Amino acid sequence: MKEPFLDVGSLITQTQTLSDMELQSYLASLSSSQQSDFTASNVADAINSVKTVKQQRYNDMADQVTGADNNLTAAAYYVARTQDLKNMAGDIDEVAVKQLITSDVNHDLAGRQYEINEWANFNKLDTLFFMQVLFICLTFIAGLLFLMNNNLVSSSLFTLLAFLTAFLAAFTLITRARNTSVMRDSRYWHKLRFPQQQDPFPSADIDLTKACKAVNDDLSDFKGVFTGGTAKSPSGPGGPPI
Amino acid sequence: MADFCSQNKESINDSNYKDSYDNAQHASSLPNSGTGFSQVGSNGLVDQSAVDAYVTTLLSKANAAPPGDTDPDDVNPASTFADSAAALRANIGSEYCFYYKRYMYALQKVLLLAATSGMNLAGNADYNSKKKVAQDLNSKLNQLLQIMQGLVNARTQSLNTYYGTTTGVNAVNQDLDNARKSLVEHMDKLQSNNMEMDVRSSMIDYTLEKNSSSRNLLAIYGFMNIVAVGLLFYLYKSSK
Repeated sequence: MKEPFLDVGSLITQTQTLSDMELQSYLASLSSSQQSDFTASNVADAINSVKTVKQQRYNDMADQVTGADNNLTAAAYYVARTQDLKNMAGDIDEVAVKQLITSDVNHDLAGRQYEINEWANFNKLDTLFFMQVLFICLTFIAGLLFLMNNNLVSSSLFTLLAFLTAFLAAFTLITRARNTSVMRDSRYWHKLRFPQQQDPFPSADIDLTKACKAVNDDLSDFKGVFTGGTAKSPSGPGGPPI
Repeated sequence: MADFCSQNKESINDSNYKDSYDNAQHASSLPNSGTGFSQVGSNGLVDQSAVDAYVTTLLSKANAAPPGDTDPDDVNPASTFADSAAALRANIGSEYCFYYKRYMYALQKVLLLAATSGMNLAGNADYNSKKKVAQDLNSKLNQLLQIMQGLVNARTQSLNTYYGTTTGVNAVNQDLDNARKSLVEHMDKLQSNNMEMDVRSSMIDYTLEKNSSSRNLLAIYGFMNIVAVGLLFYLYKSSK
């Protein structure tokens, strides 16, 4: 990056020393004003040359700095926009997560609502069943009453059958109501609840003394057969080959 | 060639060609309050490490350092950086122009004196003074160019950091990709849940209709039972 005229003194000295004779004779031939014009012209040329170099160097460097700054600005904008996108995606994701939670809650609510509706419907069907039984019973009693009025059925038979029919209706009502209120599960219609079984796993209450004695008695036939060894590896005449 | 100094309409003369750029109106981009680097080589170049160190200081002073990944206080860090970097460039350009005009003035004077003073240059005080000033101004111009070169190097290094494997652009891209994946996953679940919710909703509608039907049947049988009781009562009354 060495510039022309960095050491102006030495340059002038060199120019003075190395100037050729022709130039000296040419200068000597010029008048005073012509010499001034010639000097001014040469100085102007030198100045213009330096100007050109200085401007070119500056413009080149300014372009490089501007380009580097623009590159960096573009990268910074890219990073910032990507960061914004990431933040926006994060926000949307947060909303999605909240919706998922809400959806889970709604899912449970919908499931429970379905169970409630099912239970209520079967309860209605159960009531409907009793209503049908009651209707049949009432119709049957009415028929009997009609027959009794026409002396086709005796009064005692009517009373018996009417009582049985009323009993059937009452029995149906009571058993269904008790079944629903006591045994039926409050959540699932078809599931029944039973009293909890007490002590479902009884302890192994075994008299080991008696058990061992029984085993000994059972093995009494084999006395003398097994003369030694252990239960797992008996030895003797009848024992397994070793 | 475009004249970079056309904005400067200052008239340079013997009274102002030695002025310093560093004053109350504008701060110099050269170190040591505008006087330049203290250590300059014989070839006019400043040691590169000194330039790099000063560029870091200059960027910090001008608030023109590249924005980091996370700067929550700055809403638009890139725009802020672009503005401050442009201001720094403009200031350097203005200072270069300031010294450039003075250098041209001093150089012209020196050359004219050299051309008109004959062989008695060494004893010419005015010539020696202007030559010294011209040398200083030229040195400042060269130092400014070196600082600009240092700026380019610093920007290149910052760009390398921006495009590093785990920093800057790639890091935020990775973060964005992770966020996108998470979003897609949750959206899929949400869509699946929505479908399940539709099924559940239909099931609830179905149970409501069943309830409605049962209710109607109950009403009919209730009415029929009332009729049966009435019939029974009528027959009972008629039998007496």
